[in-house]
Amino acid sequence: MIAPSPLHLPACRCAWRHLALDCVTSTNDIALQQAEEGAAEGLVITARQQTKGRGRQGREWLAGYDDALLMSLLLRPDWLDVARAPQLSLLAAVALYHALDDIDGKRLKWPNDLLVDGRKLAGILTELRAPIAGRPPVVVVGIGVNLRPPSDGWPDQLRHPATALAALGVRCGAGELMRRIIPAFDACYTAYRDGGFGAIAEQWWRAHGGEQPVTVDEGGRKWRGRAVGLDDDGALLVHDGHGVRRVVAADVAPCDGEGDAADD
Amino acid sequence: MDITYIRKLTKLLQSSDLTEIEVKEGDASVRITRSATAPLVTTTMPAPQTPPPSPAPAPAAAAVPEPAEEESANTITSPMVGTFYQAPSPDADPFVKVGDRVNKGDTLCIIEAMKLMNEIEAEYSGTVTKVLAENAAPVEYGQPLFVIIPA
Repeated sequence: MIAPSPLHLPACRCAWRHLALDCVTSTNDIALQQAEEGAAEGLVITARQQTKGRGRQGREWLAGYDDALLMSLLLRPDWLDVARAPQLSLLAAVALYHALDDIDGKRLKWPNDLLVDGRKLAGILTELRAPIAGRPPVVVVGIGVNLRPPSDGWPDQLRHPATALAALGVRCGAGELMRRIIPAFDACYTAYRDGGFGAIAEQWWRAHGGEQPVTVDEGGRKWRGRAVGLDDDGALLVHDGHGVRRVVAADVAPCDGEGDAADD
Repeated sequence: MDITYIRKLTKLLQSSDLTEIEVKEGDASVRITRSATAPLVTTTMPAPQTPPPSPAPAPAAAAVPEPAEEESANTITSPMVGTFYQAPSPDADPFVKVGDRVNKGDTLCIIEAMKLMNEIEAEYSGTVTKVLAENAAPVEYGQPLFVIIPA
């Protein structure tokens, strides 16, 4: 494999290095593979197309050739307890939110989708390999941002309506977008390492738009309530009318009102 | 002292830089310490309240029952709070079943929290003799997931 080239991002603490690939199974796969082979923190993998892009529960993540920024960041946070690592998943969303600060109408959907006027612009899937025999954890943050809609329109099987930067009138290529996201990520990551999750959680909650009615789908068990806060570990706190429940792994979607959420 | 309270304390310890927490509630106390990896819970139950006559009062007793030694030594526990998945997707076959031989590095399960997927790998080769968590069920930090007897 060709060697990554330094990104020379002056404001960053981490020495980010970029490996630009054409077509891969998924950029997360390549990043995990590179980690196995000993790659250091700060490796950035991008690809122009994925054949096995994925989301939660092995779902497909679809994008045509050059239609999306497909990027994975390799981290080796040897200072981080594995039990706290899920916070990185929300941290990545905060970074993405900051990187796209010129876009109006955006907000975060728990834990880390970026919606613009209710349509999904970007998604994040984080993967972790726990330490074996004292090795620090490997965390790969996979970020997908739609640059332009598919030429034949969005496919019907999408769970949530989608949008793309081009459809929002933003002209920004994959390379430029990468150079905006990485410094934002670097700043959040450094702040988190030095100061903990509190400040990140506050920024996340603001970007989420504060309290709001949501529907929750926990592996087919569907219910609704009101998102009232973020727990210390990044879990969403949802009041279901009787009490507050912690949501740790679920599809959560904003809905229009407490009473009229679709139950399917 | 109730178990969810102790779990909360364990979580608290675990998400902090502390290595030890001790809480006294009336006569009961719990002390949680941790070494490099997992927290260890020691509880003491109240001693009898009757004024001590001549014989020595009942000693405080450790309250955590030990499962069979070989089993406890070979139990894989959850490294974090999350949802336990035996398979990569709802329609897929489980990574491992009871009776399967696994090799070091094989994937055993995924624990998901906040859309972070923690793929747990076997740290040694052996045979899966128990699967202790249910697919798609929530698991706590330190909860037993598998028993794998080394080959």
